[in-house]
Amino acid sequence: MPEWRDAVHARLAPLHLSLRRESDIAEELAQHLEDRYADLRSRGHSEDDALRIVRDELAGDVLANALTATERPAATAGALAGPLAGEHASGHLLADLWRDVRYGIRALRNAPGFTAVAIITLALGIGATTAMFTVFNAVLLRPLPFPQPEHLLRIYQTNDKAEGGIGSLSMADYGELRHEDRVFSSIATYMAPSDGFSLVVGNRAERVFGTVVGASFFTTLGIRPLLGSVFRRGDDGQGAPALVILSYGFWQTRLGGDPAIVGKQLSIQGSPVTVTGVMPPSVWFPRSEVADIWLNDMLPTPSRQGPWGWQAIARVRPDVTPAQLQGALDRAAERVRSDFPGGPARWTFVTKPVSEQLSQSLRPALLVLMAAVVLVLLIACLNVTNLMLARATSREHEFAVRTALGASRARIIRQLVTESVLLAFLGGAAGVLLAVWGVRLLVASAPASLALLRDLRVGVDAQVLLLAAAVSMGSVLFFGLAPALLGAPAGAATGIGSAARGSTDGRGRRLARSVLVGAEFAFSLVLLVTAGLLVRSLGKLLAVDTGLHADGVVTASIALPKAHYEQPAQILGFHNRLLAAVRSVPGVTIASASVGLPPDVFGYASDFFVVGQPVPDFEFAPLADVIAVDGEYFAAMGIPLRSGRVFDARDDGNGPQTVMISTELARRFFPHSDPLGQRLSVGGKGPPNEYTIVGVVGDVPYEGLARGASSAMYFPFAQFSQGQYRSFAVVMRGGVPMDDMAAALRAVVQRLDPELAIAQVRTVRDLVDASVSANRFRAMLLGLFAVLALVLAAVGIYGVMAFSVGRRSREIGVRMALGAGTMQLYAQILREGLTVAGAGIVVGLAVALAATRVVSTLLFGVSATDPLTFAAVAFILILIAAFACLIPARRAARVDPAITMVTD
Amino acid sequence: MLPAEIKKGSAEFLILSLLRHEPRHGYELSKLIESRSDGVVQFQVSSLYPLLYRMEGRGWIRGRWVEKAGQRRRRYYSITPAGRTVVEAQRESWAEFVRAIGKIAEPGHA
Repeated sequence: MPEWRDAVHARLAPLHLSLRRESDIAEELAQHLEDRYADLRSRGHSEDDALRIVRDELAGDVLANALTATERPAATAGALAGPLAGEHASGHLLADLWRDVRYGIRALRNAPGFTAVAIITLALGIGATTAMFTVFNAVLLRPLPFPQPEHLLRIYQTNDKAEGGIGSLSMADYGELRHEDRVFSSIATYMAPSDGFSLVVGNRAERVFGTVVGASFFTTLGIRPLLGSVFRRGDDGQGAPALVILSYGFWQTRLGGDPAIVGKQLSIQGSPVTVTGVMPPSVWFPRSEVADIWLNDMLPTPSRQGPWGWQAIARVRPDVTPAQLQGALDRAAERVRSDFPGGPARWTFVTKPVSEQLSQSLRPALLVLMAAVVLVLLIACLNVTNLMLARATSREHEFAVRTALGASRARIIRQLVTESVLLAFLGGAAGVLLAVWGVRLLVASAPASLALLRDLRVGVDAQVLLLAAAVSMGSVLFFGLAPALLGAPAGAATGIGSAARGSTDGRGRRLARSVLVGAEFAFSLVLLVTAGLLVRSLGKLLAVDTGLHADGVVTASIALPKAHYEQPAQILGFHNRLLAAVRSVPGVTIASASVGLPPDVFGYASDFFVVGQPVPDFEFAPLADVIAVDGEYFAAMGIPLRSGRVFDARDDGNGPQTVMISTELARRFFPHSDPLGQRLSVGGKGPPNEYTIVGVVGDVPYEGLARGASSAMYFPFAQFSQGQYRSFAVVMRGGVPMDDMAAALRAVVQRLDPELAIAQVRTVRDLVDASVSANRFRAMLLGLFAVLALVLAAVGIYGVMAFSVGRRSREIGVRMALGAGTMQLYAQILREGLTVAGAGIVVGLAVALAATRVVSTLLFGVSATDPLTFAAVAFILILIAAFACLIPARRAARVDPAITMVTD
Repeated sequence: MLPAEIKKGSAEFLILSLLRHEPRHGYELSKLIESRSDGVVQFQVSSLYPLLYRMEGRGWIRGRWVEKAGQRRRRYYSITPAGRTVVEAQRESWAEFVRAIGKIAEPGHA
């Protein structure tokens, strides 16, 4: 009589029933099978036959499957009763997986410290990467909100393609480019005045910002309006009606979303303008900071090659080759030259994709930041790998027992991988939360100069979540597989034996862990050096001597509409009335006006030459910033007078034409002579263009802190207000707070002209801060990532040293029993730790030397291989490594030899 | 043999019917089902016992180990009051169903 019980047990094993239940079922079923066998035999079946039939009836998964539905598995309490204990022949993939997951969760719960550190580490790495990628994706990868953005080009002109210097177009240029309609399906010009427009809604005047565009602007972009229509052909001709298209935001916030707005009139720049349409919310081109309105431009007919100042966009036909495009640009440039001889000879046209042009300013910084977070992620993965390796070592005993009980090596590896996947999943989920929060913070803290971030509606979306999932799973391959392969024991016997004795770590695993920590240090160094260079650049930038003593100075901008301020006399009249009124405001000690403001606003740059010195070719003429000012400007700003005098009543429209120059200009053009009394010829030859130098003042930057002291020419408003200076800044110094001064100025302006509004009220300190905000932002971000990397690396080396010391407490005990001193012990542990960190630092220094070249364009006043930064970072890292080693060393030094030796 | 669908639906009813008057053990049940249905319905160990356990779980039948002198202990299943209600209800609807089928299938009504 065969015994069936074992066969039944085998079928029941995957169900993990309680022992009692399983044996009950086995007994009952075995009896049934015995009866069946006996029956078959009595019916004349041969022994073999009967056996085969009964076995067939039991075969397959029917029993286990059917029982799964009725029987509840018993809670697998002890670890040894867990999934690794027995290796049953078949088993279902899903059931096995579920079992692995449950077991994995239990294993992670049993090691809360390890689990927490691993999940936090992964969350930081994955979160930073996801957040950064979200921004990266929005700015550099995602298509613009225009149809076929790849066919949209910006057209510039350049006088030297190799240098990449580019400038705006003139009407002559536009006229010729328009004829190339076999290459361009549409082309349009636009101009975005930085001083905005004054607009009156109800009886309140305000300044709005927008763009003056050619009639084909929106059709070129391919944008349809939300309400009304876009500009039509002919709307940019001379004498066309004044029209305006509103941005969605402007329409909503200032006009209450009036659904019948189309056809109504607004007063803009003192003239009635008819609303013809409202744009959908996503449209902001071309102003990235703020886009309130688009006005139709009445394009002049060109009478000469200049003036320049228009931007151009064109939609290139889909089948046009780069050669055809270049051909069209060259033909147009040639026609401009022949139509208007005497102009610059070498100027040609170049194009750039609109998308590239928009993200241009952000691209280098974003690429560097993206690389930085990838490094952070790598460090995080290295750290978790290390943790897993250390854990695998301490679990040797557990695995050895399992192996002895019949678990195969593959089975244990699978279990370890399951645990890694669980960790990655938890870390990834936490990382996505961090990313959502991080992106919000990032966008909110982005300075106005990076407003593109806000405009692009950066947010965490499905694509980004997919990336987070991919990164999480990728990191599993990284940190899950290596420890599994290195961590699974080779043989049961050795494992149990050595683990029980608490011997030193396996040689291979220890080496692997040292290499990992070394790599962490190398990566951290690269990040820290890069961050250090950016921070030093920022410091240097902020340390630039602005030449100003402008604490408490408040500025605000004003723009006079041309309709009411056509004649220079009107402009000057307003100017004088305004300054007189502001000077009478209590608390205002000095009030003045200027078209330029440090550190980065200047009127325009003009060519000039010194009368009496050789006249250079037009293309090589020196340029200087042109700043029209009121005489009190220098006192208000605290710009010192070096020699001569400042402008006064003598410098009015009737007096001789005068100019003041900056020390820098004096140094360049009058190195050995006194500039006072000399004459500059500005913007052309002949006495009408000549100005006598009456004063030299200290240097002030007008083209950004990074460019340093400007060569500047100051002109008195009274002599230099031929219409260009309808917009200017009021500069006030006084003993009252900024808000009070602004309120007083607002009241004065309102009284003088109810249709005028001031805007951009700032202190000079604000202006300087705003000019470096982008630098500060990226230095801050990279610094954050570098600190993150540093912390992770420190945790990494601490973990390795603590573990290594812990594992060898017996060895240390023996040494100390044999008379080794505490100092020797410290020295040994430090030597080990610093060897690992030092190797990483050396490798990192080499990598950083190559890598920092990439960021050289973002640096100011610091070389990409700045020895001070490199040395400081290496020193900090060594210090941190030493500190991380000292903690376990101290613990080891307190080891009582008697205890460690007895516990064995 | 009956198709699986029919068997599944009727198996519980068959078992309950067989247990209506006396407790029986699993093998006995399988033999009875096979012989009463002239071999049309057959239950093998892999499907019979899960079914019994499920019915036991629902409280329709109850199994307990019974030891008789000179024999190994066996697990006998008896019908519970709940099981009895089920079988009576099923019996009626079953009979109705069979009557209906019979009427439709009668040659005279064709």
